[in-house]
Amino acid sequence: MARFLLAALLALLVALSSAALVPAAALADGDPASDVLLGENVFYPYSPNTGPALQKTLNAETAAAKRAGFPLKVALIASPVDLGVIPDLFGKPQRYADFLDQEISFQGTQPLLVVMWNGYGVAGIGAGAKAAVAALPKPASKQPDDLARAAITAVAKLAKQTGHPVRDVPGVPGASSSSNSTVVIIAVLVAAALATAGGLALVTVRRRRAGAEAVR
Amino acid sequence: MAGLLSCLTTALAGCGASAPTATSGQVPAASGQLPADYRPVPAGRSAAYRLPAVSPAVARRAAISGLRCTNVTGVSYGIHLELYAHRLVLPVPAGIGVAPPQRRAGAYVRSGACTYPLRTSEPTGVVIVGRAAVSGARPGVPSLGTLFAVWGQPLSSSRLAGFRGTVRAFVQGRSWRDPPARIPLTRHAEIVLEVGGAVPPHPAYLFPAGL
Repeated sequence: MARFLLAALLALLVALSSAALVPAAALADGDPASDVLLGENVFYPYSPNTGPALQKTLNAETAAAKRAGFPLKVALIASPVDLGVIPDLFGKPQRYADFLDQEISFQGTQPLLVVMWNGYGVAGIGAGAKAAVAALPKPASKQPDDLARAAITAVAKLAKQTGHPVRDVPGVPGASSSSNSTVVIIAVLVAAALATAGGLALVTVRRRRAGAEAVR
Repeated sequence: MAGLLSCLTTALAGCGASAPTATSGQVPAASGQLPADYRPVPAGRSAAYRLPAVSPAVARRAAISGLRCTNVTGVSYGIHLELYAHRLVLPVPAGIGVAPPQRRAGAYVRSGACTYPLRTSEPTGVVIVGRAAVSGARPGVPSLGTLFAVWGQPLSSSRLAGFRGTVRAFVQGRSWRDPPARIPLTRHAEIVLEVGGAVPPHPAYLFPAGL
């Protein structure tokens, strides 16, 4: 009986040890951003709502970056709730960027920016762009609006650093606006043309007066 | 032997390995590497993985399994549903149980002509269980089968939407032995269904406020 119990115990130990050799439980999917970013460029925190104007700017900025050849995805994480089944990654933006990158990158490289209250995480971009984002100031707070403001600056920086500067997006600091530039150029050209025409007219009038005086 | 006995007591927790759960523990502080037990799974990209949210019955605003499409939007609680087919995520779309025309805002479905008390407003697997589902004409806890009926997708022990094979079900990380359609949609249930390959299931989901 004792031998039987010992054999049974050993068999149980072997079975459990084998099970223990299997990789520990995989926590996969289940984070809301990975689902939302399949179809959207930006994941916004659950609550409180990000200001509509900031959402509009960030959406427009990421869309402009995509048009420029830089299809960046952005995840704003304001609280553990925004991480669903992996709340342990809250406060670890680079860890979460590495995790999310594997969920949403398929055949190609997927540029990705994660913004949390304590900093940024990036994936799918070069070392230069990573360093540029690392040098940015952290968001002013955990509030979604502050995360969005930080993201707007970071996206512009990343886009510029990777050679795809964002243009024509109101509210994006440092983003040159080609339409505004065009207006300025046209205004300068018109002013120059008017000045030239005025000068020519003045010269012509003076010459005529000089000619008339010479005739007298 | 002592080591083996020690391992026996901790084997289920990984035999010495840190095994953080969704609700407790901290990620080991290894730099530059994800913890070994955080293994992301990408979503399937073929058409079979892109399921429509609106079934013909919902489009007709017909009663489904005793649930009616109404303009009552009271929320009772949420559950989280994860689907895997051949070890890839089978996304649960936004707009299940929301009759067209739907009003969308990005990835989210904000409203529709009417809604059923089992519905999704976001593509994250979070399912809203409305008050009418638990206290309506058929009071009680609705089942996963009812949700799939509203969705218009097949669910049985051998079929998950368009995928055939043995369907494995887990509730709160524990194996569910009965037919998956019988799984009750209790408050904050974390339900995982798999076909065509195993993906270790999550035990819990952190729900947003209000659910």
